[in-house]
Amino acid sequence: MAPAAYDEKSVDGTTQEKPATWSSREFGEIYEEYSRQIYYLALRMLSDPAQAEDATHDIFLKAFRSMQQFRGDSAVRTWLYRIAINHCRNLIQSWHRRTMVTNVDDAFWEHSSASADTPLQIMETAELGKRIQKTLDRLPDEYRLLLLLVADRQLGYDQIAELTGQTSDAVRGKLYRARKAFAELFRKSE
Amino acid sequence: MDIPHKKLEQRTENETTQEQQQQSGQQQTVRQFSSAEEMLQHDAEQTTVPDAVEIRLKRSTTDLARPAFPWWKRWFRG
Repeated sequence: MAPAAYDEKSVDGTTQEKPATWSSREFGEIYEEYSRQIYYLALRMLSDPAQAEDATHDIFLKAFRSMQQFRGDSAVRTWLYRIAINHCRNLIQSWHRRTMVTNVDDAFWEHSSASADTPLQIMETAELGKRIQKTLDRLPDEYRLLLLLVADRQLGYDQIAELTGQTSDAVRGKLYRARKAFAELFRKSE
Repeated sequence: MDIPHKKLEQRTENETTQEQQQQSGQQQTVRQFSSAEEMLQHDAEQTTVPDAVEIRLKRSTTDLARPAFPWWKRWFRG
């Protein structure tokens, strides 16, 4: 990613150059490796690209602040997901988001999940993203979270069980029902 | 991972090549996923994190790492 290359006026009127590098190389590597998964979780949990952007910033800032306390008892991935899940849940609770209708402008989606080079791919991705979001929004919170976690190929059932506070068998059973519910709602969303 | 019985399909309008466009306009393509997680995995892989997050985070973490500006320095700067 290209470093930031513009100046900004600080509060006292002097010009401050925006930091082009991470203050901690270790943290920069963590961000590079996990930011996509964390942003994706926030995007699909919060149903809003702008809120997901803010949430991703806040999640990683929390991680940065607590990096000294991280003892390595769990994997970095699990540690970050725990922060992310708690953060998003708190946001959802405080906004009572689940009782509100999502009215995100369509144009948002076209920019949020498009990494494709050609217009065709952008169109495909935007359409798919919209239908996935519509489907996830109709799922119970628990099913939605389980599906979003299992969407990370690197997360095993044991880690998902740890993150959601249940046994691996319970995760398997609920995921089976979650998949069925998702498939049914997705077909209806066409 | 368990695989549901029915495949999930995502129909999208697909632009054809110039030759095909001249002949038959546009065609439909069907993208198939064997399960919900396969679809979500694909969706996640297509998602990019906005550059603004990294820029803001670099600034925030640098601010946190920087020692606080002493009050007496602020005082003398007037």
